[in-house]
Amino acid sequence: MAVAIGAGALALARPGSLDTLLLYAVLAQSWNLIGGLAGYASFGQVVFFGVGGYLTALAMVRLGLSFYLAMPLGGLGAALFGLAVGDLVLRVRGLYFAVATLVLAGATKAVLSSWPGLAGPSGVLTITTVGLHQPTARPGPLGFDAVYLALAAVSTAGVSVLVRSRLGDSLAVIRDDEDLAGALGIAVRPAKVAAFSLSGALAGLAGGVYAFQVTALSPAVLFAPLLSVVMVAAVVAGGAGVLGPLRGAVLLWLLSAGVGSLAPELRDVLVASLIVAVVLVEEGR
Amino acid sequence: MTGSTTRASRPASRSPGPTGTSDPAGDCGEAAPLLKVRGLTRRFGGLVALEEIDLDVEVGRLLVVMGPNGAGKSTLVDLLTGYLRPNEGGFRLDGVDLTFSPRWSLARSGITRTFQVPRPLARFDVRENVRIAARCGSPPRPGRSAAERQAAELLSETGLDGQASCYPAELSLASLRRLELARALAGRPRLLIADEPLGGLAGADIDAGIALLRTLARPDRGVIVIEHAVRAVLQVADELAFLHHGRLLRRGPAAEVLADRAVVDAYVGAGLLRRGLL
Repeated sequence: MAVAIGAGALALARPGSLDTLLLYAVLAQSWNLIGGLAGYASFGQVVFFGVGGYLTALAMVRLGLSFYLAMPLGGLGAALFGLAVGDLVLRVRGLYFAVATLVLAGATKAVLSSWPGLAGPSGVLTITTVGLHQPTARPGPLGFDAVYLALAAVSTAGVSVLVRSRLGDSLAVIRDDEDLAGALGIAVRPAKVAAFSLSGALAGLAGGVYAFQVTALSPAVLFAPLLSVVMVAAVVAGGAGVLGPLRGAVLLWLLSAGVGSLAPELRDVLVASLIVAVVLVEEGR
Repeated sequence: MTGSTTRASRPASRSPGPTGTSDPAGDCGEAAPLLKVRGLTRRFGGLVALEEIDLDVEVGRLLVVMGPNGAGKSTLVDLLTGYLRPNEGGFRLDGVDLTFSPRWSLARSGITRTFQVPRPLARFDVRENVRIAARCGSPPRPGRSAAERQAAELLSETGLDGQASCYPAELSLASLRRLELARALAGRPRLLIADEPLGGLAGADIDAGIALLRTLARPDRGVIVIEHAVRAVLQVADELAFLHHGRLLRRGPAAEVLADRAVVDAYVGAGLLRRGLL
């Protein structure tokens, strides 16, 4: 398991920097909402990251909106995407849910890759950061750190409120005994979809910041499957709850700073192993 | 949804005993029942698990449903709590047709249940198990601290206050059965359905369980208890319904029903069958 987590930690290009740590923290809290609190291990969580990133970029490029307006729109769009597809994928649980979310992310990536109007002929959507037409002045590294920090703080505060709420109680029952939940008066499907959608909002917001940071966007950048694995690994390593995902994010960040690059084939094997291991642990719980 | 009202024309064979709460609205002297089951039928393929069941439960009363294995008791509980759907017939709670309501809606409408095999939330202690149920049950749904107070009261009512911080894995079967009751009560039921709340208990635990069951019916709450043991039935039942092969064989005061020839034959027959003597 530890090796698999280490492989997941290789996911992002610039390991070890502060923004990476904070990004991991937001993503871990995102996954925590659906995988940790509700017990639905999503392996396609990157879909929200990608949807939020693209929507943020399009709002800036096509509509000329400020980044600080575009990013919340991206988060909202990702949440709505979660509402739209949640009821469908959340009908299955365990390994089936893992596969359903993987397929969801792959299909969304494929659709965006072949969408003719999305980017220029190069297939790369670029957020203009110089010249007269830049919607928002691009913040420096410290600026991005501050935005990620705010997101991480909001995510963690949100999770801590949620676990004490009625929805938090409902998710705890759904995680432990979904068949019992209805008998206690819990409307299972709305609760699950709400958790999925909220988790989508967090990942979508993170994707929006990442998009502005990277500026040159393609589906390969915003839908990197290893990002999904980072989210899973952080919560698996750190534990669910309010602070567990933060511990996991730190652990992943430390590993990603120390471990060199592996062959892509080896990564794929490790990713697959992680999926199987997480699902087996979930099922056996 | 069919049948639930068409069969209501058949008068319910109500026991003439001390049922009669005065009904200011009606001339007939009968209050509308809390739960009204009419023509309830459930088949599994060719097997008829429950056939044309008519039952009433009134507030302040405890109805015991009894019968040999396979008589349809669990099917009845599952139909009334949304774990199964009927093929025909239906039921009303406080006059509202809830036959095809989803589980959560039934619970929030005031029908809560216990499970024959206790299913506590293993990650939470006894107090939390009850608190969560209090928070999610029928309206008015309390906030977190009010739910904690309700849970504390229920733990005291069900004799679990000494074990409030224990985890389910540390509990005896008797305590687990009490936890099931406390959790079902936490949903603020109008109708509480207890599925074999004394199952597997012995000696003093049975007596304590009987004492607890006798406290469950309230002026605003009716109770259905599934139970086998004749001694317990005689002590807790305001009324007894005896099921056999999915049909309602007899219904009335417990002592009368248990003395009935057909009931004795069904029960003893089933007992002998189980022992391989028939």
